[in-house]
Amino acid sequence: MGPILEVRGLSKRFGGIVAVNNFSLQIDKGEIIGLIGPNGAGKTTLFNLVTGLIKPDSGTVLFEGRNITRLKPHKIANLGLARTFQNTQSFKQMLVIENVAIARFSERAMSRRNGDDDFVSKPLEALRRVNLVPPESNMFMLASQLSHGQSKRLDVARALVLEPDLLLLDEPFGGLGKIEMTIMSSLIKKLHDEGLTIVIIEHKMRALVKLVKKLVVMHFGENIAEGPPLEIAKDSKVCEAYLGKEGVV
Amino acid sequence: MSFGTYLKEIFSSRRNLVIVLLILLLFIPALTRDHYILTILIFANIFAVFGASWDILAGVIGIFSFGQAFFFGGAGYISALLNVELGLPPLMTIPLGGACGVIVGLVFGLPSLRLKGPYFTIMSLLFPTTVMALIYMFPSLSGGEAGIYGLAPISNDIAVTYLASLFLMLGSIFVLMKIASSRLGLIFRSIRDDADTAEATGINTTKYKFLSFAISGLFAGLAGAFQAHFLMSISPSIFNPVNSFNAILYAALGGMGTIFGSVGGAFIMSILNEALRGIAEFRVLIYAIAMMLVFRYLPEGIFRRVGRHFNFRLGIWGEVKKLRRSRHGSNS
Repeated sequence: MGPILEVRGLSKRFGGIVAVNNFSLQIDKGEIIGLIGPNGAGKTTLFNLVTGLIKPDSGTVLFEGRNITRLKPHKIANLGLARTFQNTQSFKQMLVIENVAIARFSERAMSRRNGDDDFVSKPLEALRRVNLVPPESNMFMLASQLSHGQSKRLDVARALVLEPDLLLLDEPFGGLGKIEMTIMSSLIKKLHDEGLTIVIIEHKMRALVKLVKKLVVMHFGENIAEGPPLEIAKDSKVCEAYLGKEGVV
Repeated sequence: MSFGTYLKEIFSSRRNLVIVLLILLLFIPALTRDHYILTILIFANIFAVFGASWDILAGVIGIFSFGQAFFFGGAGYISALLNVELGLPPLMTIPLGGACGVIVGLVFGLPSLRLKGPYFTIMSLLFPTTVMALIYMFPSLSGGEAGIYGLAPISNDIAVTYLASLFLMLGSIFVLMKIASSRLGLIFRSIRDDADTAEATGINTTKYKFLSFAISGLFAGLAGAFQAHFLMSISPSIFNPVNSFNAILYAALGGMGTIFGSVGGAFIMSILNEALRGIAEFRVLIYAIAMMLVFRYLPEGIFRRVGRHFNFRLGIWGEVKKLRRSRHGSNS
């Protein structure tokens, strides 16, 4: 079985800044990976490059063996690569149920509906999976009325309706309180247990290392280390990236 | 039941109120054949369609155009040429004007792919002005500054013209409201709220943006062609930015994103325009103050609440409503 996602020598510069520099990475089916690195390391840019939101200067991205490097974002999403955004990006003036139902109108979901014309039950099921339905009235609220934690889970629900093979989560714990973090954490674990391949960008290490078996460390746009969390913690390059060189301070 | 309570009963429901207003509009020619009154109402009908065509772009898919006169005038000119040069009757030139509006709309939509938000809006100002310049450059075909005269009228009977404009308005508003509340409208609104998320959800936003431009162009084109035949002439001043702003005015006054708000906005503005003719100098001042008050106290427009009553929401609304009802049922 080949890797589900393969990134080869991906580079992107914005003016004088090299955001992603000759970055390579392989993700196997069923893996759950944490992508970490100091602020500005290029993690979100990497997500944007993989999902087609911005075009790379060089390098290739293969998804399930298929070159998706210059495809439009909706094409990539319809192939089964879903994502969430760092700042929750819901359709704020639409109902919660509408927010999720939109994914039902994607080509991927349309081709998988097996002739049934029901546009509510699948989205509803997704809302239930992310713990958003009870209290029941939630789905008739406007998305803008949800709490921050609920919005984060709404984004995940929308991605799930696409029935993705790979899910990219950009800081799913960002700004969450303790209880909401537990909910999100067990949700991600449940999704992974069901066989979904997941990549998580996150700064909250304690929560992250409980979830993932492998960490990839990004620094100045490069892949400087990857491996099990315990090894990464001992890696000298990683310590340097986060804390600076010894003796400088 | 006394007549008073009967009336009260009717007007207690906004749906009934709208139906009463529709019947009233339909029977106006039976009440009066006054040329002056009917002319005002015909303009109101045309402007309602024009405003609604702007609303499907700005209020529903979230693309703000300051150049709506481009569709309106473009289609008007095409139908004028078809009528005067080729002798086609209005019954053909008006639909052809609408079709031309579609093409013009697609051309107009091209820069929206590269230019986002305010940049597109500024760009859109230039389109109609450019056409105006082209008309001055080729006077032999376009009639130049003087415009094109001698178009065939819609009908020699003003009452028939009024009814035609009414059907154009009702039909257009009905179709546009259907679109806005369909699955297509749901997708449009998701693009309005966040285009990147819509793309990441597998929605081809480019396709739907073009579709919205085509729809907007079609209805603005129908309105423009109708006006050209009604006035039996068209001149380059139709591309004046003020004309584009009028479309915005009607929609914003009535309630952006509601479609039917433009009807209210257009009627209020057309009637007000005539009522205040005596104090022409103060008219603009009064408008400005009125607009400021509306935007300060009713930012959602004057007619928003009527829309709520119609459950003017979404394409899966039927399914959602059923769901809601079953929930309520199981609770009680």
